[in-house]
Amino acid sequence: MDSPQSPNTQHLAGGSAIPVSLMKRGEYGTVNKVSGKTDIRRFLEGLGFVPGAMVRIVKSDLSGHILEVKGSRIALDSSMATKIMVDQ
Amino acid sequence: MNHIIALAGNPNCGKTTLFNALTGSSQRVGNWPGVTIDKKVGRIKGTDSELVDLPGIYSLSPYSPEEIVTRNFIVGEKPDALINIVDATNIERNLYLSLQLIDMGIPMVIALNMMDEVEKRGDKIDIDVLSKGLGVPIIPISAAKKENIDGLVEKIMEVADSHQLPIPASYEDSLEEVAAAAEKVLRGKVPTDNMRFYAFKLIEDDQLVNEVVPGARESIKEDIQRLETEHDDSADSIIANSRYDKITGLVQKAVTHAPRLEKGTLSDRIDRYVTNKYLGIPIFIAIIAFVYFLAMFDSPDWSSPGAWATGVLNDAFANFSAGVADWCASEGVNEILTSLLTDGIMSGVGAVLGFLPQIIVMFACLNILEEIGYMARVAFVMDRIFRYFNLSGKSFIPLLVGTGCGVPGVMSSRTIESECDRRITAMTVTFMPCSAKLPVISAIAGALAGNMWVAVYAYFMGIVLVIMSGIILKKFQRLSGDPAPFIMELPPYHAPKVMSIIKGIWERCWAFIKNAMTVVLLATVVIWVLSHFDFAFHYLDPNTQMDDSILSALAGAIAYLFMPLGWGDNWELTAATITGFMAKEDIVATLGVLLLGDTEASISSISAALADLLGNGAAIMSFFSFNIFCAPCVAAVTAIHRELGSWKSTGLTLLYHTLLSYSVALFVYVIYGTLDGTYIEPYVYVLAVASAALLIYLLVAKDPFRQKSRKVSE
Repeated sequence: MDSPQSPNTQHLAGGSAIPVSLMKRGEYGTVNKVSGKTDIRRFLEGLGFVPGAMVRIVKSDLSGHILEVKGSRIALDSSMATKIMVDQ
Repeated sequence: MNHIIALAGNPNCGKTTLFNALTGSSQRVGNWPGVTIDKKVGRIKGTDSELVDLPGIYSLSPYSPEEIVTRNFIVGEKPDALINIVDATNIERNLYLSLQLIDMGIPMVIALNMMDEVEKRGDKIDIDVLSKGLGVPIIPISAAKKENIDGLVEKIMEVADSHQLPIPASYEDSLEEVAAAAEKVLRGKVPTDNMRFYAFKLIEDDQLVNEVVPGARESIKEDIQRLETEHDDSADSIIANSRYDKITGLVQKAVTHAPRLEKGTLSDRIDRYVTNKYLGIPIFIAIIAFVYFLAMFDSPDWSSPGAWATGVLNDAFANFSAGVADWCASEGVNEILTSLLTDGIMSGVGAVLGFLPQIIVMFACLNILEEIGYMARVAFVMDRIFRYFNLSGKSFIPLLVGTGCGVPGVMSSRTIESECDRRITAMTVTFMPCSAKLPVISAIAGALAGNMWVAVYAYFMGIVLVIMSGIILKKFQRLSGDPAPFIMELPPYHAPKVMSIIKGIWERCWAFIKNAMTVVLLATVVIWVLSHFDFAFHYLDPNTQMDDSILSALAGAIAYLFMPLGWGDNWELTAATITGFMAKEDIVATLGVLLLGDTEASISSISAALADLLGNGAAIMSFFSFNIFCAPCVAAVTAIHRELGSWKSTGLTLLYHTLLSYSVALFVYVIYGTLDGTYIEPYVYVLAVASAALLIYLLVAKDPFRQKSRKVSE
């Protein structure tokens, strides 16, 4: 696993934020924080995962997650989904 | 005036379609991200300007190799103008890239694509408001329907001629202050035109800028820290958020969404089934089996469309060939020339071309699956399995491309982020059965009584070999490493476009026909000459004396190598295998020349001849397994060399392919033969057990190449 390195990840679970991997299909959430390595975090930002963005969970099980963000569907493996923190 | 104009945008937003519309060319369009893996150049119709189609990117912070191609082009080559294509149905995400492109300080026009889709949904976009808000001219278009392409050309020429720069968006004061400080530090060290781009990249701690201007970030460190404390966030996230805030504000003003039903429920349901953790893989296997079923299934009672059409075409070829033979006889054409025409060219090239219908059916199916958006889901489904073996599902896209042709398959390994995975994928893509291998598959399937499972075996065994290779190759120090996380945009499902599918089929068929008329024709003539003459160059009677031919001596010398695989002393088979390195269709063509008399060349007769020659299913499958998985054709080898960068690695790859396919053929022969009651020499069992033990050792042992331990002891 990549260890979170950026300075903003130390307080990642601010408030009631939970990793998007824990959410069930059909639920909605708002991105609170994205952690992980800088280049991957930037890539996720480019895809629309920025604080305040609304996320809808299309599918979520052990085999991976499909999230809808800013009108497009993004498939993530399970370990990536633990790096996106959302407010329910 | 003639300009160089770049075309940039998100992946899968219609960029290649627009490129084709602007230049009149016909590049392949697909429904998964990353079809364009290298930049392509064309002339814009009606102008003297060049258009450069760049691989799709989500932002100017490069992540995967093809994103680096795009960014380097824009930053390094400085095009005269930039067309930024934006998917209007997904406007917020697309504009994120636009805001960064605007900062580049290059004359720019936004082509707002898929406006027909937006209208269909009943949404409205106020172009004026959006254009003013962004500070860039916007031209609404539909690339697929070729709507307003002229308007776009006119505008981009105007902007390039007058060097009209976009007006950068301004963000909140605290960020702008830091940007101003950054610009001060960078002044004179980076091009003035791109100042704002460099300034923001400096704040983001981008590697490129840090390399160009080392130490610059250090001198504005305090400003950045102040910003970070104020926002309680890292600088690059603050910039990303500011950009999205800007976009959200703008979109709220400019876009009116029609009320709609709970979005995408059907899409959701399909996605849940096809990516289900239990059903996903069985569904995929069933679909692939069905594709091969349609293309190849043949039985006395019922033939699939592909097999039926293949039969008809082969009969036509056989009649034609017989007609030529008759004509030659009646006109008194020289016996040798007649043989070259009928026994050589007709048997060889005809045998290959006869499979065209199957290729059409197969690629119709595969193109439809890709077009509707299913294949991108398969990559996601396979990710779970691949990741279990320390590979990424991203490796699966090149495998899918490789079922068309190994060359683009190898090239598309470039979309993989992690270097070790990229190299491993490039080395193993050609295990997949490409269209050139399809005639081989059909011939073998025919020899085994029309068994379409031969094709399914080839397909999934190819995947298994890729996974096994992943496990083994990752044990080399140079190729070890974890795969990049799987993050992939899934394209929306849509109905397949007939024209696009026809184009895809035509492209593959044309490549197949071209190959048959060149490489296969050449090989056929060479094989005919070598097999119809002896070393003293006497013409031999093809029915009785071929065993005295040059080819018989040459191929016979290495036939011993393949005896453990059950091929016997049939030099025809080794000759076919060797010609397969030129092009895989040559295997069938060579068998056509060597095994068939001067009567007819057709699938059933090559199959029959093969069955007759080898006599048992085990040997047929072993011949098949070696040929389908061994070193790829010359064209694919060149592609592999291009990706790996050295002949040493390429050579090792070929050696690896050969050894692995030899083992697979050996296992297949022993297992099939034992179950089937074929007599197998005892030494073959010994050999099979030994190579099985070696293979298992390579798969299981932690450090079979003694590299890691050596490293430690150093």
